[in-house]
Amino acid sequence: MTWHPTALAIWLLDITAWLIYIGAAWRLLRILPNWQPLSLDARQLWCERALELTRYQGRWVVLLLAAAFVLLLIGISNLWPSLVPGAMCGTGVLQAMGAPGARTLLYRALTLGMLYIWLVVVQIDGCRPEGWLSLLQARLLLMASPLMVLGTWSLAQALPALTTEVPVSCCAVLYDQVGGQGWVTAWTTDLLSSRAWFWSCMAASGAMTTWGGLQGWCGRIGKGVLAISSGLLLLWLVAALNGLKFGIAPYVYEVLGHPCPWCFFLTAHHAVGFVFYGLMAAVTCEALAGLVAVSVGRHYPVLSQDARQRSQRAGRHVMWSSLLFWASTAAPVVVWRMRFGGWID
Amino acid sequence: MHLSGLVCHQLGFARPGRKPVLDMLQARFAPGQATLISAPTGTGKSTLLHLLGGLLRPTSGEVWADGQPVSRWPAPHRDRWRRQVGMVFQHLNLVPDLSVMENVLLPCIPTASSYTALIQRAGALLKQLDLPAAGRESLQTLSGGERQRVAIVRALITRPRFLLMDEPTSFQDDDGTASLLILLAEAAADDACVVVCSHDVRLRDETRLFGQKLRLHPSRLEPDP
Repeated sequence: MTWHPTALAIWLLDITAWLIYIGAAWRLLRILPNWQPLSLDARQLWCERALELTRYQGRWVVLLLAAAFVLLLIGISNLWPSLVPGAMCGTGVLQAMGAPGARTLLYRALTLGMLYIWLVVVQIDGCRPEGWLSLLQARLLLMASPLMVLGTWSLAQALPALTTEVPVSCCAVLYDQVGGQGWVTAWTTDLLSSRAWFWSCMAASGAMTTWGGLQGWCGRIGKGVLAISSGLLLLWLVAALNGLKFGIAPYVYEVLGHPCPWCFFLTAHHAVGFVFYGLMAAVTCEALAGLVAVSVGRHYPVLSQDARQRSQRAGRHVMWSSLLFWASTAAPVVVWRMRFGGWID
Repeated sequence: MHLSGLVCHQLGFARPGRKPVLDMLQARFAPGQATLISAPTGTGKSTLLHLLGGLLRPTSGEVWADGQPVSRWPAPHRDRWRRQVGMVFQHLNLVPDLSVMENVLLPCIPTASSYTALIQRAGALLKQLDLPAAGRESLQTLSGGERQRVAIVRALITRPRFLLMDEPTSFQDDDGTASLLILLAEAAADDACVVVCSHDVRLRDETRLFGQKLRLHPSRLEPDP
């Protein structure tokens, strides 16, 4: 087990979040079987008060887990490479952590995604005093528990591996294989060239900005909106992730064939990873919020106006975030072109 | 339940592990009418006012305000509704470090009223209750009765739809009580729903203002003869 201060801080945040969450979950488990909105008895009124309390508890859990996730990213990308022999960035740290390291990131991202959906439902429900989505809120908050367990469990498995004495092969070895020997290089060259990935990322971000703007302007909550939004989000995620690795990375690292997603976080590269991935997270979260709002608006006609407003707000947030992503990812390429007048490929 | 004014429906309140203070209480306080509730101390008058004003949540039953079950609303909505409530607390709850005018204007912070109009109204109310209209004095320099009159002006400044007063004449002499009764009559004429809890004999003897006089028991409000 590592006693690095960042690891301890993550554990502290996790334990606090867990304590608050257990308190909320205990109440929710008592609320769900006793919920009778038409009743005026003491039990129902207790349920209503307790549900209100769980909303505050849930918000604290989201805040604490988000802080833990950011600390985990900072630890993996910038602080823990010095603990692992051979590691220069997050790739080496994740190698030392093994499968639990990647699983920790995945489960924690999913937990935050699930809690963000809960938060959006709470926001929409909070627009009216009647509490139409009370039970949905309770169930969503409880549904985050398996993911939270998995996230904590994999962290407990991953962190002890940081004290390893065995050297790892960091990104320089993994990705800098010449002649298409490595799977990453092969995939890049076979599917799309570096420049094609860059343009795909730009086009997808442009499409996302336009779609966000349209949603922000008209805020429709039809069935087609759900399909288009989800499809576009998936396409954009694929294009943006690969665009970053294969299209933008050469211009940030100023070297071809080094598609390392973790080197973006290094201070040597101005820690642009926090900007790129932060904006990606913002677009994803708000696109999800839009989807949830459209869904709620379709299933609960009484909340359709509030859902429409939230969907419009999500659209505007998606528009601004993807526009910023578009600009910030294009910037290194534009600067390179202005300096040297050519492409790296 | 689409009745205007305040309605208590099977209202109950109990502190954890204690005997219920109120139980299955049914009552209606109509707008444009002043109601006097009297009872011996410790019967739950203040608790009832706090429940009516949304400061406490019932442990059973509901409080409806103008056809809305406000006591069951979540805090953000209830807080917004409470801007329609003016309340005089038994222990006044003034902010000692603020001046008279600052205390009076406190409930106006969330409203978008014009500052000049507010100052004018506050000045007129203060004058009506025999206090200096400028309100520059520190609360520390005022007597108990004067402080209570400041609390009354604070409750009236926003022209509340629901006016709730807990022992508002406990520190008042006869002149102060008479001035207060005039203000209450004006508020009721303005279609406010006025509820006063008091065991002051001067109020119980008042025949013109109070359209309804009730006596509080833990499970019922019955007409006070």
